[in-house]
Amino acid sequence: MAAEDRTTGSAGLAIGSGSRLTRICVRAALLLGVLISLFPFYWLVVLASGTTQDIYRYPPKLVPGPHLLDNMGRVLDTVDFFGSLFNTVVVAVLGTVLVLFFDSLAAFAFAKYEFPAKKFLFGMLLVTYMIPAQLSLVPQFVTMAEFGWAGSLKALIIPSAANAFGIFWMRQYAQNSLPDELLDAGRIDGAGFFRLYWTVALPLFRPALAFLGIFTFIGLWNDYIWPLVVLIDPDKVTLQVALANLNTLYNTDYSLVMAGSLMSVVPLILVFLLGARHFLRDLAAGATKM
Amino acid sequence: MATVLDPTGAPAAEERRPDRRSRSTAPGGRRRHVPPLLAISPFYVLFAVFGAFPVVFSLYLSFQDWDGIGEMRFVGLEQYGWLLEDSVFWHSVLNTFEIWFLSTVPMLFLALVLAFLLHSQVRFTGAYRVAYFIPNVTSMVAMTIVFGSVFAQSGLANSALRAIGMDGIGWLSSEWGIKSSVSLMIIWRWVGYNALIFLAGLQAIPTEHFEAARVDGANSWQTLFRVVVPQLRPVILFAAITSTINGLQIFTESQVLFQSDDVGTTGGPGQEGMTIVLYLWQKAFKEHQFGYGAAMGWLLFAIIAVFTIINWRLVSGSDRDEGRPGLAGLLRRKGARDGR
Amino acid sequence: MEHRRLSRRRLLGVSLGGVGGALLGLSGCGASSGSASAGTDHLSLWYWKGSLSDKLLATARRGVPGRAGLRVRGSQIPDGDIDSKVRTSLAARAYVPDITVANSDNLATFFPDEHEFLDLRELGAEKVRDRYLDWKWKSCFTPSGRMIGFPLDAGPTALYYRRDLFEQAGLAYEPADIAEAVPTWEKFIAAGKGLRAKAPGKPYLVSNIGNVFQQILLQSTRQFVDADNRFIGDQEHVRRAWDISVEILRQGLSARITDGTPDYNAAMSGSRVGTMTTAVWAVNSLKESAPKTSGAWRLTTMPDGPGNYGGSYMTLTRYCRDPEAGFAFLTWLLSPENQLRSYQEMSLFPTTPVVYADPAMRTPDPFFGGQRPIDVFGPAARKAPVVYFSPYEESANTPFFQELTNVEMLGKNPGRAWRDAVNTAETTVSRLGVS
Repeated sequence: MAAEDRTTGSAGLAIGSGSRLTRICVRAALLLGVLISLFPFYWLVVLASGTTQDIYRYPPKLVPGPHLLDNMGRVLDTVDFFGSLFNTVVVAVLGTVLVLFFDSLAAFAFAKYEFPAKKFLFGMLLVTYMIPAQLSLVPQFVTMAEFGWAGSLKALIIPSAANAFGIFWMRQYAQNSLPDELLDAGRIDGAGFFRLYWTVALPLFRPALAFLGIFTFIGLWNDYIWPLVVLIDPDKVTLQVALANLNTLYNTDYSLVMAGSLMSVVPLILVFLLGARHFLRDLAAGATKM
Repeated sequence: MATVLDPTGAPAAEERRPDRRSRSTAPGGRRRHVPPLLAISPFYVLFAVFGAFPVVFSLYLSFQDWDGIGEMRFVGLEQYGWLLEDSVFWHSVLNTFEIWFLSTVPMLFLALVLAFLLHSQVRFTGAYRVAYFIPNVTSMVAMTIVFGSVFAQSGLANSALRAIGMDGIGWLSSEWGIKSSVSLMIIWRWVGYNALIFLAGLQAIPTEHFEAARVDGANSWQTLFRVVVPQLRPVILFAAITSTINGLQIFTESQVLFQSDDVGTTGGPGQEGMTIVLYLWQKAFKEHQFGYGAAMGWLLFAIIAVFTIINWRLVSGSDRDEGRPGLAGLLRRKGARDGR
Repeated sequence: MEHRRLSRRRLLGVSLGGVGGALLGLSGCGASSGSASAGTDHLSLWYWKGSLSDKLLATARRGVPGRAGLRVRGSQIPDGDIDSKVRTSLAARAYVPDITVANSDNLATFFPDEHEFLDLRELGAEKVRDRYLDWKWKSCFTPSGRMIGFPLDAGPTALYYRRDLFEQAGLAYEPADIAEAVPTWEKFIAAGKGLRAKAPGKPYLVSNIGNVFQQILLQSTRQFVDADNRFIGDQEHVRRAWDISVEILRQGLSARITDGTPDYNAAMSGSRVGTMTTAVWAVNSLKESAPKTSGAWRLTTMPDGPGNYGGSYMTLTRYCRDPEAGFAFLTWLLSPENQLRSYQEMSLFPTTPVVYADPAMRTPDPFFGGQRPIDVFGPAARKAPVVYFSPYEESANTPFFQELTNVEMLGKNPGRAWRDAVNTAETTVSRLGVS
């Protein structure tokens, strides 16, 4: 990406060209920042691998203890960890796939086609982005109850299957990266709207889809207030709700709660690390490109 | 979210280069509009059912007294009247703004400094980015539990203070302790995210500006505030707007942090951590006053709308000479300047 | 019932209009029966950790003895959360538990929605009536005379104290001596001063003053809203409880720690707190949070006499898939024999008087240094006053507990806090129709 290339060009121009001392200071500051950024995770590992008694000892124990597997095993005995993990994965994966499909399809139409009321519809899209979800927490719950969806994962997946942010973002991407000539060529071959979308547009959208995908996935994975409200069945909850329940039910057993926290954090970090390169590049590009 | 809203919905690229193709090659008849309309319809259908309808329905609900189980009772504007007199509600509004201010201002400042530092760095930029972004990826529930243990009376934060000979602080049992704890969690979570967005903006600033500053003999701080900040203004404002929208919806931190206190409904001692959304949730789903919750949702919406309008005004006010008001206009100009 | 449900759905159906209506149709109107156990071979039960015997639940999961094919599966819901979760499921008419546990002060909050619960008399409750405590049985009835609750346990209270700390402070330290030396709350405060001054590590008397406030209130038959639906929270019985609690704080005898937090556990296991004023069911959680202090605790009579704190009920919701089976489960789980087992296992105090004389009730507890808990809780259960709880009790008392926390944690002026509590409570309950 262009932004990446320029890094080398402009680096050193801001302050880095100062004395060696300045450079060392900058590096020290950055490393300190990294430490602060990552310390809570380290601390989580320390807490999750100790005993409940260790946690409030003074002076505190600053290195991991030997009880990690122990504590994790107790989490598995206490709550349906894999069931909650499964629910979370279902919501995050299905939700992400739907968002990617619907958003890219709509973005393709907005970017490359003319149709009646296009400007109005697009304007409306942007206005909807400003409506906070919490405004309608109560009526949304009642609506779900009427549908008979309360307590089911549908209530988490379907309402968020297409979103204004993704359509807006993908449309910008489509305008910049999808040449009209390619579409024209496809049309000459007799391809219609949906074939052009599937065979021409979608492959070119891949980088943008990777970003939007991870972004959506993280959002769905970490959603808390809506699952807390709508997942009535205590035996069918997402990881976030299960963890909050564990925290309330077992507040006397802190190492257990910490082990549960650690287990809920690890899968998502792995997913993120796998896709981090694409994601961060596109995040940066996304912010300035529009 | 990494997006910028365009109030006009018309991107510059499209205006400069009208979409000739679709006009010239489209076959006649209204039927050609069917596929694109079909393609955009899922969003609008979902929005109608799960977005627009609940919003309208919540207006109806806000005129009722209803526990979700029994009969609804029409009470007119009574819920709004109670809401205006409800000291806890106004306390939650005040808390929300205090926490928003305590978190957003340092967060944006730190993000700016961090972006500036990252920008001057050649090596390990990829690793830095990952490290700084990870806080934003992890579950808020889990990290709130961790922070809760750090800020406990006998937690790590107070142990550290004790080690350097200071008295412990009532992080979770005093007014400013609670607000600082919640704000620190928000700052930790969002500094890296915003720094990376600022960094992208920084990298888009032409290098001549830095050289010119250097020729003028500006030091690092002067460069930061004379060159970088003005150039980044649109991106900073974008970050400010999204932080405002996010900040006014704080819920998880306050709920999980005080989970042992009546299952997180109180917002801690003195209700100092009670936020608007937490109070809405408590009234609606703990006490089952659905009408009251709906009325509160509307008031929250009004507050956010006012803030958004103020934000837009602030930006467009200084931008009128350019003829294109709005944040998106600003960003677009910058984009055009970068040759995008 | 049915017509109400239909009218609401019709209203929504109409207002949803075209698109929504189509989707409504698609969804097939969802949960057919509304029970959380729909489509399974068991009945569902919601309870909180510690409210029922784990062993008996494990048995019921495999099959309730004496009733072929009846299986019950429990799901744990956090204590303070269960009533609102039940309400949420009732509002959604989906995943409603067949059977649920309700706290003593929460049963009354369900009275306005009593028709969401089955009347247990229609299932033959009268047949087992003579097994249960009379006052407990009577409290299961709604004002309209339906029986929506079934007696689970009782909550006689006691003063839990650290014998070792009291002894080191040079105070009376045997249960009988303390009962004599600390007959009132005033003497309790005096003992607290001695404890703080002379015991090693300067332990506090109580973890927080909210607990004391609660206990003093329960020594009165009247609470915050009386049977005639009048707010009485601003009267002398509440004011006295408030003043004594504030005095404990003023004397620096409160550790100012919220119960159930990690700090609380740290304080209890670290001998930072000398006493606990609570009910019998707290024994188990104390054993869990402070296992190292085993043997150091003793029980004695509460200053100013015992109360009944908590003690729960079980209910069957109207979504219960098999009311007969549900009721059979209740009578099995809460039979005298099984209440005795629950007491031995979980310190759940029986509501079936016939077992009080059973030798098994008199087992010494090593956690209390071999003391027999029943020697304290037994008389307490007999002497505790019967308290009236209004459906609006919780709404009325919440401001008082919150303001007391403000005084304790944030140093708010007690006089101002009292006025604020009274005002908030009055406004809140007046909206609910309390005069």
